[in-house]
Amino acid sequence: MDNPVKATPLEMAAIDVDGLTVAELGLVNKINLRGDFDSQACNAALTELLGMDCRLEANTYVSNSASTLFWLGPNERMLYTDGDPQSVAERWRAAPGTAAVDVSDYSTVLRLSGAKTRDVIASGSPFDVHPQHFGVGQCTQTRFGNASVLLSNHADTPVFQMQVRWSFARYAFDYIKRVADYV
Amino acid sequence: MFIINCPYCGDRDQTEFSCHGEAHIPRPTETKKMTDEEWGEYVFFRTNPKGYHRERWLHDHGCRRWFNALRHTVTDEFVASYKIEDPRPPIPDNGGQS
Repeated sequence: MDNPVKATPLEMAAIDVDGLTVAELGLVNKINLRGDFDSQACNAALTELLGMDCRLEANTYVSNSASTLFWLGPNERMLYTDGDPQSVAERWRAAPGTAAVDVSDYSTVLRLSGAKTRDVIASGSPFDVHPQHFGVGQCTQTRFGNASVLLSNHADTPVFQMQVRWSFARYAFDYIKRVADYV
Repeated sequence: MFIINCPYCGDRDQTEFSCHGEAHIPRPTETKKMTDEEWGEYVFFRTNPKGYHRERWLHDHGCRRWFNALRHTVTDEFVASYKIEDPRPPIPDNGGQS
C-alpha cells in the first residue's frame, strides 16, 4: 500500500493574541489501549513497553520523553508515542487480555498557553479548570462547546492540551478564536 | 443545572451525561419460549414511578462508562450513583421529602 497523505484537520492553524497562544501539535501518534490496568501482568507489560511507571489514578496522565499516557477510563488509556504506532500497538496486544487501536487520525491536539487559557476553556466547558481543582499532571475528558475533548494540564504558566475529534477540530478552534477576543 | 457524581470521574456537570431509562431490567434468557406479551413487557413496559427511580446513566462526554443512579423523578435529587456491579444503595425512607 502506498503511504497515505499525512495531514491534520486544521493544517497547523494558530492563534496568537494578547494572553493566548494556540497551536496545533501536528502529527501525534495516538493509540487507544484497553486492558485490565489493575492487574499485575498488564502493568508490568505497560511499564516495559513505555519505560515508566504507568499506574494511573483516575483523570491523570504520566509522560516521559517519548510517551504520554492518559487515563480515559478504568480499562482504557490513550497513549501518545513518538515510536511507530503499529509496532507499539502490536507489542501491547501481546499482553494477555488487551486491545490496541491506532487512532492517530481520529483527532488532533491543540496546545493552549498564556494567561487567558483557563478563561477561554471555562467559557466553553462546564469543567472546573481552576488550578486548585485541575493541576499539572491531571487530565479529563469533558465538553467544550458541543465537542467532546480530552483536556490535560502540562504547566502552571499555564499550558493546556486539548485533544478534539477531527470533525470537531475546526469548530473547537473557531470557538477558541471567537472567545479569545472577549474573555 | 445540577452536578452528577460519576463513580469513575467524580462530580461533573449534568451536560456531560445522558440518561437511558430504568436500570436492573435483566435480559431474558429463554427467549425462544417467550410469548409476544412477555416480549412486549420486556421491551416496552417500565415502572415509571413518581419518586425514587434506579436509572442507567452514561458519562457521554467523560469516561464513556455506564453506571446506575438512584434519582428522584420529581425533585431530581441524586441519592447515589453506583457502578453496575455494585450493590444497590437503599431507597431513602423519607417519601422523597429530603
